[in-house]
Amino acid sequence: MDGKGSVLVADDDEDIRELVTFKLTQAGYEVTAAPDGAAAWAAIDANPPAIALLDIMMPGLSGLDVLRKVRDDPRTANVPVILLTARSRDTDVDTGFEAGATDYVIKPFSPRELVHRVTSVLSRA
Amino acid sequence: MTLELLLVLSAAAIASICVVLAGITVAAKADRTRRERTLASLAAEHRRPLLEISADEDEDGSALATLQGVSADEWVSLRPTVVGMLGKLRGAPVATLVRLLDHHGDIERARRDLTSHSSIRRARAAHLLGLARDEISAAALVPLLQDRSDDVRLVTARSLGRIGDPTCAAPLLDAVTGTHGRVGVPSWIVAEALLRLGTDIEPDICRGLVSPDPAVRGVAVTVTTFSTMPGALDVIRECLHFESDLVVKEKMIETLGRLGGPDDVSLILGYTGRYAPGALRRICVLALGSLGGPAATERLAAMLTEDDRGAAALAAFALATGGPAGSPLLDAAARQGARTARLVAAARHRASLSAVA
Repeated sequence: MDGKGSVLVADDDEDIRELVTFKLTQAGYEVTAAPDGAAAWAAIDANPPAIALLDIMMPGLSGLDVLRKVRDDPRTANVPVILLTARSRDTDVDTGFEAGATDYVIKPFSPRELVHRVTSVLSRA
Repeated sequence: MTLELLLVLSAAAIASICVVLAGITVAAKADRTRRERTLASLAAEHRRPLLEISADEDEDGSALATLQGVSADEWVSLRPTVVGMLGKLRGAPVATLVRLLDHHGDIERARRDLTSHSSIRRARAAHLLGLARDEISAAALVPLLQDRSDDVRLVTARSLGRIGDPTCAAPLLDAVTGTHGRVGVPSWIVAEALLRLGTDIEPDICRGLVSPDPAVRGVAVTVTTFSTMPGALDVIRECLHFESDLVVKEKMIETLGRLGGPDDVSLILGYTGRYAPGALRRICVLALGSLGGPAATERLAAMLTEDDRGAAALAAFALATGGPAGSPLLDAAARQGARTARLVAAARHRASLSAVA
């Protein structure tokens, strides 16, 4: 681990969650994974990460709900958030950015590109 | 045999049958659970190499070699995850996962299953070949757009979109039209598939715009709206006046509003008269607002005092959001009476809200 930063990955799809966790860990990030929105917010609230990757469609709290909570809390308001989602319509992307997303990645996605996005967002943060 | 004895024997027989059925159910459930656990355990063993491949981290090919060497039983446990990953990823890992499926014979089996008697097999095969972006199968998939099964037709359209072969554009458009008493493939599925084929399909879209079937024309207009096909936009300009289907005509005007230029205002003005259908007029108002220019703003200003409150409100909003030219026209209209003044105030309020959003 070369200590690039901590990442919170939230996705109810186990395959995606494991894949993103694996890829980011290989890239040197310290990753915490959450299977739903409530667990994601609990993890962010307990220990704000350097960046969060949120799926939008999750049971209970959606990724957008978690994002709004992140932005509303002064302790987490500046945490960059990338939405990783299958919702690809222009209106979905607009809604994501309006809710405060830093970046938006549409599934199907390239794991390599996702790491570049994370690195790029963190370098600007 | 007395009636009582007969009843007792019947009850005993029914009870025995119930016990046997319950036993069979429990045994089947236990067997399924055991099998699922075995499969999950087998899959878990190979999770690491599968993640390496999916994450594009298999630089020396060892993970691929490991998974190519698994037994048939192990492959059965892995296959659903591999196929699932195909739909979630793009880039280099997809090619490696397809190589893995190909190694285990799944791609070849799917190609054969396209002609299976079972519609479930045909649908599954079409789905897998689409996920695998198997260009070789495009020609074999085309006939399935006219399959007797609704599901097969739908899956095939999506798969052809994923494969992205532009030569499939014409049969995809044809699939919108139902034949032999079957419903066609839903328009939005075909439109989505066509949008993935690139701009080389413009000649097919131009032909679709003059199809006798309004559903096909509608799909062709939708594809024109969301792609860059100037030739198709010209065909829409030529056909607008002759379009007999109101819904298609509305889509055409919407497209001209989004993609057209100042010259298109004159084409649209003709449909803003008082006797044009309400929905069509309102779409024209939005299109004129998008296109702008003196003729458009003049017509929108004239509509502010109309009895059609919906069209008048939209015209006011279009002028409020359409740039500086609309402002003096709205001021002038607001002085014409209390009703128009309220309309203008509401439109400006909505415009300020949308600007903030």
